[in-house]
Amino acid sequence: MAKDVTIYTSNTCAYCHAAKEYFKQKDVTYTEINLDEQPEARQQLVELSGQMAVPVILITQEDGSREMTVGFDMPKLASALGV
Amino acid sequence: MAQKNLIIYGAHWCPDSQRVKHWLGEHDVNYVWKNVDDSQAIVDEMLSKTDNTNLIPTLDIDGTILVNPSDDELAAALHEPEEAEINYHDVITIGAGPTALATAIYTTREDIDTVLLEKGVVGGLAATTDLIENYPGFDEGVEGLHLAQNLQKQAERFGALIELAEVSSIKDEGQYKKIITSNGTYGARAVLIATGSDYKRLNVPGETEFYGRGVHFCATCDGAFYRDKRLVVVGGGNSAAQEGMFLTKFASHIDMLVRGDHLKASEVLIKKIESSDKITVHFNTTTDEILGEEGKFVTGVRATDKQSGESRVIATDGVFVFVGLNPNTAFLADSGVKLDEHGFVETDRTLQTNISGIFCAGDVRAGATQQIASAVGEGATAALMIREYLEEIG
Repeated sequence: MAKDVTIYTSNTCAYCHAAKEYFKQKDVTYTEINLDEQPEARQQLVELSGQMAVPVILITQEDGSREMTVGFDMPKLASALGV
Repeated sequence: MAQKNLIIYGAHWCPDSQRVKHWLGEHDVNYVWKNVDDSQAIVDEMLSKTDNTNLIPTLDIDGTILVNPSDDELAAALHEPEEAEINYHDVITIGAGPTALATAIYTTREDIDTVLLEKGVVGGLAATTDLIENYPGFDEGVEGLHLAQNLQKQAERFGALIELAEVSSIKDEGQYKKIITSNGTYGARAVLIATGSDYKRLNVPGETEFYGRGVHFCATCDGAFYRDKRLVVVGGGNSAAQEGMFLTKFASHIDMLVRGDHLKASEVLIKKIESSDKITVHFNTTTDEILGEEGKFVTGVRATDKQSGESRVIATDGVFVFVGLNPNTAFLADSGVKLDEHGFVETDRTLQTNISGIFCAGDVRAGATQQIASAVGEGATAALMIREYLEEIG
């Protein structure tokens, strides 16, 4: 199981809801950064990930390695999360 | 299930004998039926195996004797590790968009055990649509996400189960269909294919490289990143027009690139586009390449005027692509389900495919009108057809 899962979301993004639903079904604890509620995080996300899209999901493993997923890609998430 | 040598000693008049035979039939297990009413020899044979316990049904599974086993005991006795995880249900829908959710609302209200398998967004493309103005019953229009969430809640209220899984194939195994997914294997008496469609890609240079860094397919997801920036919208249909209008909330200006010589959208949307001072429509224009700095963001689009042949670069910060829909039917490749030449699923008037017990409805069906209202209507029709089918097969 990954050490830390952070997801950048927005209120109107259906894929963000889908990703969160997937975490719920797989009992994955995550931190959500909602860009509608924290607009200042928008630029932070762009700088951090080079992405101007949501959802962006950052998965940090126990060994400190980090993987980034853009969009809701179930097979990729499953393999990164080990679920 | 892997085959073991199985003998059933029972009688036609015995409900538990019938139950066991039915269960074995559903699970494709072969057996030898020995009717204790046929001869004393059969009764003696049974008693020799049961220490004279005279109860039916008695089962001899490779020498292991079970007397009137429950379904769970049967499953355990015939258990094979590679077959252990089949989840059996009455109905499985592949997809959980408006079609499947409408089907589930109807089937679950009839106490038909229904599971929806979804690989992406519950609510499908409808959930990613900003505003749906032609869905009956909403005089002010309805946000796609809101409609999707309401459909989901309604289906779940009646007992529908939505599971996130990607289906890789369907196998017709007679009375049961087997559905192989990323989340294990499911069995269903009836299957509804309701996988809808997905936005086509342009397939031009730069599209893949700049995905998420200036190239987008979901305005409601990513539009807000373009506040006070320039955008290009590619496409001239309803989706392009609707999402283009939504993007005017953020963008300072939008260039809309349309391959044809007119918009193929509803009159209401066309009027909105025409009256927007933020949108410039370029007809007869192809989108040839998406440009940007390697590893950074989109800076422009190379487009060609088909009439003059002139190619030019339109400077932009982002490109939203809405150029039509592809049916989601790749997983049906080896299923035997018949598709038309465009990859949509062919059905008869009862929405059944060429395989008995496999139905199809909504955007992925050949002849569908690609409307959310139609998708919901077809979902309800499919539910009633499935109910009839389940009654027929008993």
